[in-house]
Amino acid sequence: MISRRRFLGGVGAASTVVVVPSWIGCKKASGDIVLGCILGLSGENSSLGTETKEGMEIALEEINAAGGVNGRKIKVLYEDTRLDANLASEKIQKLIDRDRVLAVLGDAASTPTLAAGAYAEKAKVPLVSGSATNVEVTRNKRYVFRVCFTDDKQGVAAAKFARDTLKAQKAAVIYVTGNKYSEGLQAIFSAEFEKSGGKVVEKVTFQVEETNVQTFLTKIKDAGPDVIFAPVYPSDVAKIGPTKLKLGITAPLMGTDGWDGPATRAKGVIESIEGSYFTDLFAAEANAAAKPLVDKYKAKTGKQPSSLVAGGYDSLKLVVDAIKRAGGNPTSEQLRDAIEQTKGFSGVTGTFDIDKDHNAQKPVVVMQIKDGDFKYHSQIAV
Amino acid sequence: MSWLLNALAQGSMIALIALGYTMVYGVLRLINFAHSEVLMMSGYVAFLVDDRLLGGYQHGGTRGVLISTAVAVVAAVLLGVGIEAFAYRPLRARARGATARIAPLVTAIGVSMLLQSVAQLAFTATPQKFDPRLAPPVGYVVLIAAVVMAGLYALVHLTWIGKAMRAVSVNAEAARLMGIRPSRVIAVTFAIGSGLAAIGAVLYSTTQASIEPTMGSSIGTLAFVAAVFGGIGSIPGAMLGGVLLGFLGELVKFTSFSGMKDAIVFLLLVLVLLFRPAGLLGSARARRSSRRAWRGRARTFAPSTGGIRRACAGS
Repeated sequence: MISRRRFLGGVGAASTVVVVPSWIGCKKASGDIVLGCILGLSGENSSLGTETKEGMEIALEEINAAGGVNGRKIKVLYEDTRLDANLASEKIQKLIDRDRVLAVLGDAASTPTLAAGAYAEKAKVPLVSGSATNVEVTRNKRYVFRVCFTDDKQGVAAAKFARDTLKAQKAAVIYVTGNKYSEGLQAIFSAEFEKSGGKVVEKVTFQVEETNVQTFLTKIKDAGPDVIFAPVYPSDVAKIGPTKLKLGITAPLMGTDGWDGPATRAKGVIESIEGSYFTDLFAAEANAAAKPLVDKYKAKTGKQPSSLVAGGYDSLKLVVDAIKRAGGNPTSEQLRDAIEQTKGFSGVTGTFDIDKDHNAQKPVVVMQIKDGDFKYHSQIAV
Repeated sequence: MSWLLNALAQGSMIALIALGYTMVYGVLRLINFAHSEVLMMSGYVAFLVDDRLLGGYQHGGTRGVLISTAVAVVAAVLLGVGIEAFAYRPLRARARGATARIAPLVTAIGVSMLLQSVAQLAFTATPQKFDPRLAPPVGYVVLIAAVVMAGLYALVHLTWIGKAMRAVSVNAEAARLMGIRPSRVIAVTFAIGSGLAAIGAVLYSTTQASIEPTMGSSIGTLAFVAAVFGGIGSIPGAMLGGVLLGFLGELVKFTSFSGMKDAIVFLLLVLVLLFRPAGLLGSARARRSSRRAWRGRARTFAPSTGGIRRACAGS
């Protein structure tokens, strides 16, 4: 008897677990508007996800404090992807099929967003990323959008900056194999750098899990470049920077928006990359519209908001704006149309349209590492 | 020259960790999957002591790293012996027959998962990193690893407890009859393996890797493979396997396939193991039995009856 009672108890517990999510789904029609969000919130480069989330939370507070949409509050369900492609498609499936979300936000990087995008297409639910810049992410996709520029712009801008401002003749490239973002950017940069008369003298690549990059940088040192292009994430900067310093390589590093994160700012790392540059999506100093976000974020965390915070903020604001334009209670399909028709949206990263390729083109910002901090350097229009 | 030193450093760090796998296998015939989590936990202990208590790079400096390493070694020894006492020993006393080997193995995987989850709860999933300026020079890494391994070799071959370890690994029952307490020897083995893992963890995390709850699985896999490659159960085998693995990895970095380093290195290892199933320095017993198995199979298919009879007698 006891065993049967225990068994029934177990069934009861299990059914509660199953019932709760469908109950959230039912609530959607009258109560909150539920959005999903996939972000890499753990793992080596978790800062990409957690900072995006911080930006979204500020946007969410503002939206709900102002009464939400027609009195209905917005609710965001977060799922962690570890920036992994397989986990991303698993988690977006969960959000769409189990939680019946209206739209999905995220991811912060290209590889997982690309994987999640495939499922968004199949399920016909819009997916909006704040900072996935790889060209493939939105190419030929009906339901995938982003509020940032693409790497064909960024790679060209980086090459231009290296050629025109740094006057580099010879460039070396170090990138990560199996990472769409890194692979895409290195190809675009190399092509543009050679097209404008420079020469790529050395190209090295390492796997995602690599911990020791000394051999790669020794090869680069032997090639004697004027600039080293490194389209990588903060955890990689933390490996490359100190090793470069140790080997006494004086050529500056040229990074991309993936650099923006606390691992790059960490003690011992930031000192090792003094005088390096990276292209970015957003600079708080360069954009007056960002002032309210900068103040709120600083009050909360004591830090300047990164491009990821801004991307998270803008992506949620854009989706909610589209929900309003679509009448306040749209289907996923109607919401998709409204997002596609976005014109002159004023976000913290500037005023932008969603173009026919589902991207938001903005000027590329160049940041410099100076006195142990990220400093706004210049803007490049491509 | 600097390349050689770098490769040697990579290899000797892997070897330090591989020793823990091989020593436990030697006395217990158990793959201690929780070893990689002992490594991870000792990494955390070292980092937290150095960063929170001793002031990191600014105040602690090299002295801070040395003190935190000592604390981490002690913590790792306690954890390793604790795992043995609470998770494996009760099973050894109770499990019989077929379960005697499977149950501890499954328990090892369970302990590994448990420790990973505990670390995630206690330390969060955000990776921590030593200040890169605290990294010892590559030469020191090699030197430290060499001294530690030489010490281990001396311990195993020149002391009473080392002799006892070797005896237990040859035949635990016979060793017991000779007045050796296998349970005590096993505890000491766990203690030594865990201590070595702690030293490996500090070297690894100060020079390159960040510390996170899953760090054990990536470094641990590499070390485990090194132990198998060298011949699991053999102490010089684990050292050789680790160093070779480090060298192979660094060599692949010179080719244009550097983005698939692990895949290529592991493929090479599979090829080596096909020809030497017991690993490079695998114990004579393991080598003989695997050779016999091969020959037995070949003979069974052969038409000669004598071959079959001999193969049956052999097994």
